[in-house]
Amino acid sequence: MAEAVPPAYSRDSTVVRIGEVASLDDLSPEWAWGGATGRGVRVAIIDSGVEADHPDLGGCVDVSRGMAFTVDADGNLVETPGEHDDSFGHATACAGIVHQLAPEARITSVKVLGAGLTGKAAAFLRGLAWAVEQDFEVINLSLGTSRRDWALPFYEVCDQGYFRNSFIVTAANNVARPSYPSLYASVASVACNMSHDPFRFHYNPQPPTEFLAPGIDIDIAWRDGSRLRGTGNSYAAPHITGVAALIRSKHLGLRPFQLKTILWATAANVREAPRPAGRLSRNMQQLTSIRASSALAAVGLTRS
Amino acid sequence: MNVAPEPILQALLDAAVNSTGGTDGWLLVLRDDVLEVVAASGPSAATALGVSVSADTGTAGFVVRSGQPVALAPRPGGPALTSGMAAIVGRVPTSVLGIPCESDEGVVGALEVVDKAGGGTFTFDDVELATLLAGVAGVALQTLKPLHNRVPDAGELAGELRRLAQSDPTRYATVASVLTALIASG
Repeated sequence: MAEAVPPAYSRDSTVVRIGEVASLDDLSPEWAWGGATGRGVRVAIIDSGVEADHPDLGGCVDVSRGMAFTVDADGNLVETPGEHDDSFGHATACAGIVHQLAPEARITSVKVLGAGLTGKAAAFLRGLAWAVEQDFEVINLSLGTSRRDWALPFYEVCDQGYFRNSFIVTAANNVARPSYPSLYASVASVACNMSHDPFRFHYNPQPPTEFLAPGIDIDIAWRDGSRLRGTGNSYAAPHITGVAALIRSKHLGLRPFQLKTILWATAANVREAPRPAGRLSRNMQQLTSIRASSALAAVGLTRS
Repeated sequence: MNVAPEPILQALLDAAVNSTGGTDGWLLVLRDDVLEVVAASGPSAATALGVSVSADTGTAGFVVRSGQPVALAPRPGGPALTSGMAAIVGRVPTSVLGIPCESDEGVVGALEVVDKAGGGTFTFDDVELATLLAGVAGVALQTLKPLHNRVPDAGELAGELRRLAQSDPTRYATVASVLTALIASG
């Protein structure tokens, strides 16, 4: 549990000084994650349970830290720490994608989809809350619930994650139907783009879906040590999770909104826009130049 | 158990199978921890209709638990996706499309289509199209669910038993007469 810090608005001191900042011009992929491996970053995969000994995961799963959440016949939540299997293959697919991008990130499996449907939303919520309490740097949710009665609890937990510095990545719904928690501003909601380059993602200027990443006809790890091909936003989300893990491993102490800003600036469509992120528009450049010249003239100087 | 599918559900399933280029498809309603096939399309339709499968297994089982659509295809020589409905109808699919059917109350069922024609894999367009149809199916399933769950009144039950008694007297006649007597006695 992180030590409680009084919110900034309660202080009458001056603004907190920041030692070093990057300018928007610096936010290139090379700056953001070049040379990074994910070392030192813990990623939680909340799903059907990761198959830890899958040969393509390279031992990246912290088996002993894993946790499974179920609801018993009396409606009580049951937490089972340690090793578990993958009930379907979906979690292993997500872990495989994260491991491909961030090979030294440590993955923890949080199993909330198992036998039975009773209380599945409760198990899902508790699994997410547990991951937030454990202060995982990145949390992947390639699942969601459409039940409106669970919307508020998920909102609360995602906000807690945001303020505790967990970066929560969720798969967006395919159609315009509510799916929680992918609708919340405190998470990064991801849908598919058409790319097969795992590092090529896009920014979507029309929220709630904020990023687009590869998720179509993807070669994915699956249960029982196998691989198959899959399509869906479920596989797009872990691509952003993997990139976020790389960025966090290279730039310590980033807050979620800073991470989103870096993802925005390094998105393919932003990088390839006629005017790269951080550059002033031509009009602004002219205006700035005129003002500078006027200021210099006022003190008897000219621009060299 | 073979039951006549609701025309709206059958039409939605047929549309999903045809528009995605699938060979077989099943529309399953969720009841407790069981998925029951309420509409079926393709060569396996007669076998599949009315069948129940655990919601713990197969592609349909996963999508109702996760709320996420999936399109999967085994790699050549790799393990097959044979659990759930595929096992029941004896298919070894070359491709699978699973979509949750949702209503305002959450996931109420699943739409599953298998074996894209020509041996291809289901595309993202297929996923989006099937998701739209599954959304309509979700509303239809939610509307129809009370009809499936309601208890028939005693007179309706007695009438049904009388009809059954005519086809199998030894099995149903006694039950029908007891029930008729109970109704008569108020």
